[in-house]
Amino acid sequence: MTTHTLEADLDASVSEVIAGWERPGDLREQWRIAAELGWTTILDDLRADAPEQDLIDAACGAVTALGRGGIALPLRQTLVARAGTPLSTVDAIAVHSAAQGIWAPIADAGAFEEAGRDLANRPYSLVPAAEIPLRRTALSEVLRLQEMLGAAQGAVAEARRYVTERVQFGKPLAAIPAVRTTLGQLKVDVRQLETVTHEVRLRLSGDDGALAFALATAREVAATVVPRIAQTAHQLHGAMGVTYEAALHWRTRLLWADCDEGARWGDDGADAVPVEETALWSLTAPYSAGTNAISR
Amino acid sequence: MTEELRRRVRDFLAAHPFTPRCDSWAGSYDLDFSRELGKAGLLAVSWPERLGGGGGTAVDRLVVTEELLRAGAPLAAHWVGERQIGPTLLRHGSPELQEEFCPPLARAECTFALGMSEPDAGSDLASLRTSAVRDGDGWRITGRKIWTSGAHRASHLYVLARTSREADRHDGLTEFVVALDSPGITVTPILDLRGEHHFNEVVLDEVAVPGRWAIGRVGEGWRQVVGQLAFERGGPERFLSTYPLLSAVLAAGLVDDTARRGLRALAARLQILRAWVLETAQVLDAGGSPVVPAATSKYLGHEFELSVIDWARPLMPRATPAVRALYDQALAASPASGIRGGAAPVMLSMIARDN
Ligand SMILES: Cc1cc2nc3c(=O)[nH]c(=O)nc-3n(C[C@H](O)[C@H](O)[C@H](O)COP(=O)(O)OP(=O)(O)OC[C@H]3O[C@@H](n4cnc5c(N)ncnc54)[C@H](O)[C@@H]3O)c2cc1C
Repeated sequence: MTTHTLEADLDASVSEVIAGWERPGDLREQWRIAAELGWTTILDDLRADAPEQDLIDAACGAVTALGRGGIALPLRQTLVARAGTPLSTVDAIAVHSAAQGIWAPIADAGAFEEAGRDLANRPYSLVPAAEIPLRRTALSEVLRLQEMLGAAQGAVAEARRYVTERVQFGKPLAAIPAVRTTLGQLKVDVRQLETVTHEVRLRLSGDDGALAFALATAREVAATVVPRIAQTAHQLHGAMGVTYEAALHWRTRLLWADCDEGARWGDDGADAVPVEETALWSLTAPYSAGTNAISR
Repeated sequence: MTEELRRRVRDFLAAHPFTPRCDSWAGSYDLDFSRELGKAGLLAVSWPERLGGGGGTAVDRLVVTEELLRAGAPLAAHWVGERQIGPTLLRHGSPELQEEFCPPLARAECTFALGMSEPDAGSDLASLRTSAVRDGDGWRITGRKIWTSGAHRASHLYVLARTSREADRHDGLTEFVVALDSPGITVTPILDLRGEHHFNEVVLDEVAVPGRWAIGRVGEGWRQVVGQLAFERGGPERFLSTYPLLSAVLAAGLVDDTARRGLRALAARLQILRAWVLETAQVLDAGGSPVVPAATSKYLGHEFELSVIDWARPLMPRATPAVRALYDQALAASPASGIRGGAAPVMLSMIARDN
């Protein structure tokens, strides 16, 4: 199957496939299915100079769906490693230094040493990242953001379901104003993450300054809201949420692991935020996809 | 279109000098400035041309208001009428009512204040008691409205009143236009945190209102007003009130290393909020009522406005009096931003309920 026969929006179809999967499940078997269905090769033909938006959308859709389902597969790392530089096999686990996640040690392509396991039980290495071109970093980061966004959406759905079903004090928890306020804040946080992620994704085909700015702001937002989303979802979900059986459990572990992975970038790229109002105003304008330009 | 509009606003601002203020849409009143905006075709850009508008879209209006707020221009005189009364009339008013009020609103010749809140009806607006009873072809309105911004200067008052008692208190409400110079109206000032006269108590004692000034369907006021709240809450004024301070701090070169980090967080929120209000405007253009998206941007907008103040605070000892004045305006207006137009926790509750 080539990427061109894939649906533009892979989110729905991936969600359907993984609906019955067990967590953590059999990694190699899940990976075999992912490869067979063409998820691993989506970005093989991506052009570095003018990345095709439909391919990026497809990749983002697949990664988001996995995150939402709480499935920790090394898909985004492999997509980045293969982007524009296909490997001969479709089922190789590959890593790129921009997205070495955490899969580096078990990768078939790229040899690294395992230093430990993260909270999503993914092996990681401590190889310092080499100088990576902005566009490759951005592609890798957009997929990390999408994975977190998916996991965050999944976490909110679980928290929301719990407070509307769980009866305490004679009525569903969601009838208590303080509970609703907390749930409202949680949703605002997820919307923030969604918007900055979307903005980086659109700007992958824009100029460097606009892309670097969106990347810097998206990282800041993710670093702030993702840990809060995880904590708040658990607060609402009560003791049940921390159990191995809880669907929330798997989303949280993914959220924390991805957020911690982001910490390795530190303040990289923060100087893309101008200290001058005219530039700031123009860079904060939503990117208009049709015109390939920011509306100033 | 968008670029052209932004340029037109900037040209206008350059040709009409003013002192930038924080919270300028609520607190900076200059009727001449508003009328000049009207003459330049920069008011009511989204209304039909036959009603004095520019024939553009809600997105066009967003572009104009963003640029005006960014500059801290005096907008309070026309704000309520142009932001929500005109659009409400366009959605629900009879053609007669539209023709009577939209063209003068678009020229800022007629100006509005909002009579929604009452002493006993704040967050719980549906509990309001002001009543309107039939009187021949018209109505007589009696009740007390409070926090009525600008009622001492406006020509007209929008009033939400009860026209019948129904089992569900959301039924039986009706929206009206009332002339503020009508006999039976008393407007009493209430001073704000800076001691400024901004809002009022308005007492209505059997005020006569012509029948044609009921907006839309009698008894359907609640459904109509809920839609109106998207106009009231979903615009850029809910996050740009303190922007002139941010802008002045940057221009004054006050940003140090710590502030630079903070600026990244502010830039990120600004980017998010600008995307959200654009989405809201797009939904409005498609005829929708984006009430929850509007509540969402209002909520985060309030947080953003507060963060700008917190960010600027440590820089103020090195600031000039002009920058400091913007800071003082922002700070004094800040408690209101989480209350006016609907309190922050109430916004969160709406957001939580939405599926
Ligand atoms: C500067 C300013 C200008 C205004 N201009 C106008 C105007 O022009 N016209 C007009 O009609 N009104 C105006 N208002 C009034 C405004 O709409 C009301 O203040 C607002 O709806 C809140 O009502 P309240 O002040 O009675 O607060 P209350 O309803 O008494 O609530 C007090 C506080 O309790 C909390 N609270 C209330 N309900 C809930 C809930 N369900 N869940 C959680 N927390 C809750 C909130 O924190 C709230 O702030 C203005 C207000 C301000 C501050």
